[in-house]
Amino acid sequence: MSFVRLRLLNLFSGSNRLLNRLQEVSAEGTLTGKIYLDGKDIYSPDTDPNHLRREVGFTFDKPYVLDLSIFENVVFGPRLAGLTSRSELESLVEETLSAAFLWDEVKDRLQMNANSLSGGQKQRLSIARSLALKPKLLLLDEPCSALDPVSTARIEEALLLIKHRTACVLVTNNTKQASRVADITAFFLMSRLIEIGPTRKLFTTPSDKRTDDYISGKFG
Amino acid sequence: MTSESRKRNLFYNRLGIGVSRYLTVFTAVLFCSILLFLFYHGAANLSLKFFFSHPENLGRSGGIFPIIISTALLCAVALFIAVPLGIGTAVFLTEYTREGWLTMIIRFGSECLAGIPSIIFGLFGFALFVVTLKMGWCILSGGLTLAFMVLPTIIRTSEEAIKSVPRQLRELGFSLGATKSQVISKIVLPQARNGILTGIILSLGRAIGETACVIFTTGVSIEMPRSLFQSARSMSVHFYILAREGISMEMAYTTALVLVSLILLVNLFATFLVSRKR
Repeated sequence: MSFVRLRLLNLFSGSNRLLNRLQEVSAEGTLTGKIYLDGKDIYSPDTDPNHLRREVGFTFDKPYVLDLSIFENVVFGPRLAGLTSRSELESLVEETLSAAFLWDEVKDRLQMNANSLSGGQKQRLSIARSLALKPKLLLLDEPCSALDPVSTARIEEALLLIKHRTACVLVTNNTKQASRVADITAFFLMSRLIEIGPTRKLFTTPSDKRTDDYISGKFG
Repeated sequence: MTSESRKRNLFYNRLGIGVSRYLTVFTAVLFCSILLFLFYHGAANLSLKFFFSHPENLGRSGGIFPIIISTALLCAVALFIAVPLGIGTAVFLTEYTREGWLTMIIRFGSECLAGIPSIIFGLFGFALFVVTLKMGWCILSGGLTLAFMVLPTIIRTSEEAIKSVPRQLRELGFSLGATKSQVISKIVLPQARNGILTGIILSLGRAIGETACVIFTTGVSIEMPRSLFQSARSMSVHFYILAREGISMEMAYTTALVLVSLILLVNLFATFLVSRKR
């Protein structure tokens, strides 16, 4: 599970901890392969990491919001990228918050501090914030692991629509969530890819016994 | 748990609460009695005129207007130098270096600086600014010396405040396309704002009341300062001279009362700033 995730994460966060773990993985000799985004190898020296970060959105496993208003949270990335037109920012906020199923709940209090939202709302705000940069790919690192079932359901609802406009990679330990949301599912065990295929096929007729054991609840 | 050990726990619990309660009351009484003492001795001369008129007859009568202005100028110079320097150092130490011998030396140095008595700073300021740089006794010399004195506090508190910003918020900034300097200026520093402000205001409280540092570098001129290159007298120095030279104990107490009230106000303001939600 963590294999693909690590390599991608490493690019955006550059955090020491992840780098160290990456080095551990490579010391075992398992770090091979390439990652392409729109046909371009993201590890090639011509890739501009700042540009890449804007093309790939990321949502953390815990809801983190900036200590700013709801509005400013959403437009933080676009503002950095140089968007200043008020009307454009406003339509962007409405569009992305609607896509994240949050607009109806917050449309009257966009100037309120984002910290006053509930955990599930913060997480949907994070998704809207990532979408505001119009990424080619949205990565979600266990977005519902800190949330209750009702909030989880709302995020899944949103993802079912978002996936039609932006490719999403969802990392989850919740097999039921994967079966509900995903078109294609990959099963990783101990940093190794065990099986990948259309979600329906993987969940009904898995070809590997370990996949079968996991989805039928024998372990995990 | 046996009833015996439960009784013993309960006893220690009550003892602890009792002792800490008495100690708290003792501290509060001590503080209040200092205030009351100053008020008792100084309140008689306290009037609006005392704040806004010039001292007469070496301070035996009149007010302390030029002295209040000098004190404010000294603090302004000190913070103007120390705040950017301190926050910059804190950002460098926390964001731009790995822990190593360099950061250890800087940190150790600034902690030693924090422990040095203020009169040594005064002596150093005198030797460097007044004598070597030929600036003479003036507000600028005093302000710079005060800046050196409060710098460690500002560095330390800013560093703690910056460190307490969750790592994930920085990663969030990067994931939204921010560069390192944008993450620091738009995410980390706003988030650390309260802690940094507290440090600055604590430093201000220290600078207002500082005596030894100022007497060596700013001198004792009682006149209204017309520029930063003139000698002046801070409130605590005024108090010291009035009392030491036996000029007027009553005026000394009134000056002390104003000074202590001012420091109290500054600290209350700090508490207000920190508790306020944006």
